[in-house]
Amino acid sequence: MLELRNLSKSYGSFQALKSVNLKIAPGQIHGLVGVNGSGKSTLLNILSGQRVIRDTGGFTGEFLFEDADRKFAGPGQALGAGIGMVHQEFALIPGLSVADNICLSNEKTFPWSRKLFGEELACINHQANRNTASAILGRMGIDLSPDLMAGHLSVAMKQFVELAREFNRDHLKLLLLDEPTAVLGTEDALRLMTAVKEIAAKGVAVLYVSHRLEEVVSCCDCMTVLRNGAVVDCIHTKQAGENQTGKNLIKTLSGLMVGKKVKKTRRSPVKRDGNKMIRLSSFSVEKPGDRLDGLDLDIYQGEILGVTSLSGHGRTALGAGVMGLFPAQGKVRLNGNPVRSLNPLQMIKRNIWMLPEDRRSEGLLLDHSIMENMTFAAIQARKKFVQKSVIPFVRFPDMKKCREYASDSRDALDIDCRSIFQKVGELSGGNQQKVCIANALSMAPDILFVNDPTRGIDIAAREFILSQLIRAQACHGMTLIISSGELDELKRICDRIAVLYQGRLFDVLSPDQSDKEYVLACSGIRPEAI
Amino acid sequence: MTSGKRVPLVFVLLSGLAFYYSGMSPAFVLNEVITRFIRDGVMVLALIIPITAGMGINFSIVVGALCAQAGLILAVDFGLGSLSGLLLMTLVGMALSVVSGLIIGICLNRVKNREMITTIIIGFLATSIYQLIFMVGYGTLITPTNQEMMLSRGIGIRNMVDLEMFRNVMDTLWLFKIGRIEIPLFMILMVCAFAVMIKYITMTRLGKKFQVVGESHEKALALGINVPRVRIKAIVASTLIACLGHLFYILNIGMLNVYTAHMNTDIFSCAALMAGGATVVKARVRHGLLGIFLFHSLFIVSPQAGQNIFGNPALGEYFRSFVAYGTIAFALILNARNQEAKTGSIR
Amino acid sequence: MKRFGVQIPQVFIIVFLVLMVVLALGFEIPMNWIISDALVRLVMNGVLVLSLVPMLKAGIGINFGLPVGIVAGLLGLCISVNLRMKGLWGLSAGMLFSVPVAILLGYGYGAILNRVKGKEEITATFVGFSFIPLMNFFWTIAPFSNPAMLWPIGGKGMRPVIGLKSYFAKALNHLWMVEVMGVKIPVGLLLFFALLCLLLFVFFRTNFGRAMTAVGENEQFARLAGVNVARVRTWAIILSTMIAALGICVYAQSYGFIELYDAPLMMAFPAASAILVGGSMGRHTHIAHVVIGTFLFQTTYLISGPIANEMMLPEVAEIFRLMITNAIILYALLYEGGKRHDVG
Repeated sequence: MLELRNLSKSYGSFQALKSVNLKIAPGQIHGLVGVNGSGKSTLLNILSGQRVIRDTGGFTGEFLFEDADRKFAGPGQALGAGIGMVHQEFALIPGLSVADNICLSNEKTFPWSRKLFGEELACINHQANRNTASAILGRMGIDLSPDLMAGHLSVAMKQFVELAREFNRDHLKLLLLDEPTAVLGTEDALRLMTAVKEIAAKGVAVLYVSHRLEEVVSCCDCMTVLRNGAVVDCIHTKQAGENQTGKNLIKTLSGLMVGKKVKKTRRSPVKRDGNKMIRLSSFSVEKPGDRLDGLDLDIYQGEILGVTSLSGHGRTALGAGVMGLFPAQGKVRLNGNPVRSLNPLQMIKRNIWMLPEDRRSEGLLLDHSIMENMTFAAIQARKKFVQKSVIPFVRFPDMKKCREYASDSRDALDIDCRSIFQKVGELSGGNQQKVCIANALSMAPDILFVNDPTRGIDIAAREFILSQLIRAQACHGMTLIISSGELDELKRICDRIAVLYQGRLFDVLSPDQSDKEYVLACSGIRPEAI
Repeated sequence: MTSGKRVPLVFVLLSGLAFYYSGMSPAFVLNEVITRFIRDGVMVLALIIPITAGMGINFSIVVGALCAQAGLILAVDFGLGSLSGLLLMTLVGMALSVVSGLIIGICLNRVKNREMITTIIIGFLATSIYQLIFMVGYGTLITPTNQEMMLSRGIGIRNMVDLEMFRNVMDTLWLFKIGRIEIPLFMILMVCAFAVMIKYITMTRLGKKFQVVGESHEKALALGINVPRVRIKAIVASTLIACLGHLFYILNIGMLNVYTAHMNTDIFSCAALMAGGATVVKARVRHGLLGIFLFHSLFIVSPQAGQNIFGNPALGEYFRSFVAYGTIAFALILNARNQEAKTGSIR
Repeated sequence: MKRFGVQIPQVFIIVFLVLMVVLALGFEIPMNWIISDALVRLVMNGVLVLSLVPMLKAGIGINFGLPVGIVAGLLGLCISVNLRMKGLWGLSAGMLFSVPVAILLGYGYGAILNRVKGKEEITATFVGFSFIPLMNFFWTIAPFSNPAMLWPIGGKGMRPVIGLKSYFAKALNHLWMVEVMGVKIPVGLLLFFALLCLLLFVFFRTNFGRAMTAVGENEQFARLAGVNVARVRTWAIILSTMIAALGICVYAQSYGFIELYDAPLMMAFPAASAILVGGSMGRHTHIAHVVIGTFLFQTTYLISGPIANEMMLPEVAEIFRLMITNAIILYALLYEGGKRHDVG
């Protein structure tokens, strides 16, 4: 039914997918696994016809669906062809009822109005839609009133409604599930898998993307492992089943996902149990798309703490929450003293700062010069590089000191630029991140939160940035909290690594532990459970 | 949700107070309100669809009004009376409003999140173009057939065009009286028919699409809805309804004030809708119907009340324009505050 | 030239201007009169246009609520006239009185606009619109006593148009007036404008001014650097309101009349159009945009009047002016929107 031949996709110079081959037959549940950044989302975007793909230059290779070559211009065409998708971030309309959501763009209408005014202006038959919705929900074993507003539902219920909407499509042939159980508890996940199996039994092909390996193993007929954009292996459960039990299969899979890594230079971790700089208890942050939900964590003075999780499980919300960029709840103690109000100015006064993960939209003034970016925060909040002046409002920055600092930092951080007056927007990602680091160093914080320091940066610059972070810790005695999805990097430079799962602390692991253990921890699985 | 009830309540109180001080007779006020209901009702309803589609208040309903006026002038120019004239002006007005609605829709698809300010400017610009055509174009580039409506210098149309041949074609249909209150039942039914029509549209598949697009562009796109096209449809529908609404308005008055009749229709209609409890993101037909009654009763009684309280009718006049603009400003502020993100602090 | 962003509006307005100058020469309208008047009109409207800059730079958008600032200035002028102050002193006093009023009104106006992030322009428009009838209330019952400002009959309530002839009309216009080759150059007026531009330029070099620019470019970055974003935005709005108040003072003395009631209602649109013609694009606004834009825009305004009169169609000038004003604003909205859409 679905066949991909040598499918490749690149964003600029970055190759996200490298000649992927994939085949799914009707009625088959096909698992797709891989770590962050292995190309799963790109593949799903191509299959579901998201506009991003076309806007970034399309893909190469063959995408055959029902024996026809496909190149979707928009999600509408994919839907028309019979490819439905359940999104990780919900595509439910909160202001519509459950029934309306399930029947969306597939509404039952009164025949008389259809004859009179045509398809578009046909009057919707609410009762019929409610009945359809109830029937589908009933089949899935969900007890839910179709009249409730979708916006008021719990996260788990939203996921089921989303699934129900796809089930309701008349000519659904291929169903794409993107992390369908990420937000569900074990019981709900089981129910969902039963429903998926049921629909597959009707001849619908399912592509099941999940981090939860046990689920993939238990419900999929066939599993494809992606690593760095390429297919590493394709395992058929039935064939494998003869010599491998489920648990062994999980181990095999996680081994395949991680692959063999080249060893790079690393900093040896130091155990610290001295002064607890920050103590967080039941700390919750309402960051949209990445929320923390009751985190308990201690951070020791002078350590480099790694924070990792799958995306959406709260790793970037920690720094942003402490800096007060998003509404937060819970207790924060700094050196034993409780902190009442969280806002950037307060935190800067207490020598805490953060480098945000999205440099371009939060970390830099792209239209301003390198020099201004490096000194802005220090001028504003620390009154560094400021001329003395008698008139209160009228204070000018000390251009000479700014220039000095900027040229020193440029040399120290090896920033590749025409001059320190060049606009930051014209620099490459790696150099931009160096400017951010110079900005952070000018603030001389005791505690620095760093979010995704190497996101979108080429390999050479990555190593350099990591070494600079280590230097900052060693020379200035900073406490660093680095949150990142790049496990390999964290393991090389951190003293401890906290793994978050669903916004809570799942475990604190040592950098020595194996990649497999990390992969399992990120998916919320205890090694003992296997 | 609460603002949906609070705003109408404030209007009830204000107009009640103003009515008390104005000393006008209830029958007079009621007659006036009924007239306003016929004149402005459809115009108010024209705003509902774009709000549902998440485009905010469509101030460019003025363009629809201008299309109606253009159709009317053409009918007068050709000297068509009665039914054939009515037919011509309706057809011309509708054709023009579909075309201009398409253009406005394409413009608005370029300015997501700034639709409202753009529609205001489009309204102003359209007014200038309209004035240029009828004040300068007529008599120079366009040769009129009916010389009576021209200014004596031969260029441009007079400020007032008399619509005698259309007067009382529709207004007096099924007119009956209860005491001193005149009820032109046919016209009231016409306005109600528009209300039912818009209600019906919200219940159709297209209406669902408007609603989905209004809730979130991204989600609508992900669900395979052609968002730009749906938005254009919303604006075309709105312009069309506005055009018909303005025809009702002019025909009811029986005179066309060529250069000023369309002025402020957008502001007053919008204020009326907001007075009925609608917000910038949510509007229902009932908000429109309620709003017309509340807003216009205040409008009718406030100058007299100003005269009686302060001894100066101008004060009542100022009060009512303040109410018109202020209601819209208030709705905008209130809506933004509901969406506002809270700042970080430990609770 | 790319720095000033030459766009279709500029090209259009320059072509239009050249065409009209040629026409003006054809109709034998005296050139020296045009140039002297153009210089006066540059400053007369330039200060009002300048008042848009702080809000644009702080990322709040075009200040369509300009009437708020204008009303503050009018109030200051009225106080000065009520005290029967004359000449430059009268004008300076008017400006001085209007500043505290502007700060007060700007603070309230800022509080409103800070609540409606992302929808500032439309809200500002309606705050400005609704402020006018509110002030009309005030003008009718204002406790002023100078009979020159009150209705001649009844002696209560302000006149819609107050003549300044015996107070400070043209006080600044005539300061250090120099005549070169038949062209009158109002040196004092130009110097005053230059001084204001310079002050604003210097302001954006201070720490606080830099913070304002940063808030306009990247609010989250500024917040993370410890900048109180709401406070900076409020000050940008107060500053805009203050300059607008000064702007109407300069305008009124140049015009020779104080216009009350509905007169300021639509004043924001020509000002917005002028700065857009100058090449301003959102927060990418320079003082040079103000000067170039106002000069081009106001000169077109100026010449179109007599030309239309010569062509026996006096209304055409006004229609054309309005059309150009709004077409330019619409173009700017569409162009910026289109650009943003491509990125997103």
